[in-house]
Amino acid sequence: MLKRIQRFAASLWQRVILRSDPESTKYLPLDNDNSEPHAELRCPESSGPIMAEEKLALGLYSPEVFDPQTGKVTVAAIKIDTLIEKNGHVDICGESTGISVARIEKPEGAEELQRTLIQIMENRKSNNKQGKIEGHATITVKELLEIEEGAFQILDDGCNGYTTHAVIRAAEKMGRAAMRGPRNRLLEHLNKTVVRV
Amino acid sequence: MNLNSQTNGIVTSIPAYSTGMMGACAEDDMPKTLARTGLASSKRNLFFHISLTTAVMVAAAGEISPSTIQASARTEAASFDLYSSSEHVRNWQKDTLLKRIDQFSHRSIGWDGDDGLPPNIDAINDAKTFLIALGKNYALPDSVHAVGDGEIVFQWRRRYGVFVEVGFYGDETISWYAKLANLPADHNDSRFTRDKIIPIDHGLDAALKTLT
Repeated sequence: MLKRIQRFAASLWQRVILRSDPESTKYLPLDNDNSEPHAELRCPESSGPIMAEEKLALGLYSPEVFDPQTGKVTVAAIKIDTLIEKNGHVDICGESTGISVARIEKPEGAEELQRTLIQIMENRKSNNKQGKIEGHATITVKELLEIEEGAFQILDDGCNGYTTHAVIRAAEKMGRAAMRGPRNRLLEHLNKTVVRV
Repeated sequence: MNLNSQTNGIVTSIPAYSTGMMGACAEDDMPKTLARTGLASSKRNLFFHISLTTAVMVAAAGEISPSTIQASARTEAASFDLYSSSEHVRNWQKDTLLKRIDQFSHRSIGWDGDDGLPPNIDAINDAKTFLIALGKNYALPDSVHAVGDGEIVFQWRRRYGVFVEVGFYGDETISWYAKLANLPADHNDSRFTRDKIIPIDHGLDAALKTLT
């Protein structure tokens, strides 16, 4: 009976952390392979497992995250300590630590990303800061994992109201200095895919 | 302000600075720099005048034409203008970067609308100490940024994917990454203190010298 309850709970809370396996197109939940060391429980509101060809979108706003003069994503868009979280990452659906991205190809993806950007603008206004929503930049899961083998992880982190939410993290073994190169290449990639509103 | 502390690599022999003090130092440095440059220019002007006079005398003797003298004068004038301007540019760049770092200290929590942290005073002072210690043998950073995790980061970019980045969080560390052309990437998180002489890592030292 206890096992059944555990299995039921697991099926409700399946989450998957993707690692450097760019060839894979499918990331199966925990109950298919209990020995899978990278698998965790998925959020119930998630839009499903993340596929290798799926695009992840980073919301852009100026002036901090996007420089309208140069038309480029700034280094402030990818915080190294947010990727690493030296005190240990927190896993709470929708609030998990890491760089927040939206699974833009899902039906709700664009709308949810837009809503998040509007919220950020409102936060800025209450802080007496000007800003403007500039658009988004994308990268596929496969491209992200190929930046450097074993550098990044992607966590499916959907929640009520933001079902397409996911977070990008550094792999556990990576330190600040080691993440600087991958971050730079990630920014280079994002700069090639900027879509302005 | 000791800018000559880099004889055996970049060292941080500068005592701890407060933000206000650093601003004063940066301003204080400017008249000296201008004075030095002015002296250098006047010496060169004298040399230029003598060499031009000599050239006119030689021309009068029929060895070179007046048009050659004019061309030569233009070249010499351009060369010493370039000399003094490169020193000016470096000082101006350093000042601009220092002022930019000071501006970061005015940020408040949530400055980016996304729970961004401002850099703490130690991060600011570490970054300034590092920048001031960069002597003429080292390339100045192309840019400085404050990232929302409290980091101050310097970046150098060149063609062919050359990229160097140095970051400070104010926790007595220096975090750096260097990718030079045709070489594997090198990186390290090492100890950094402002009140002791600590040479920076050899890999970073070599990379920054290469970029000049």
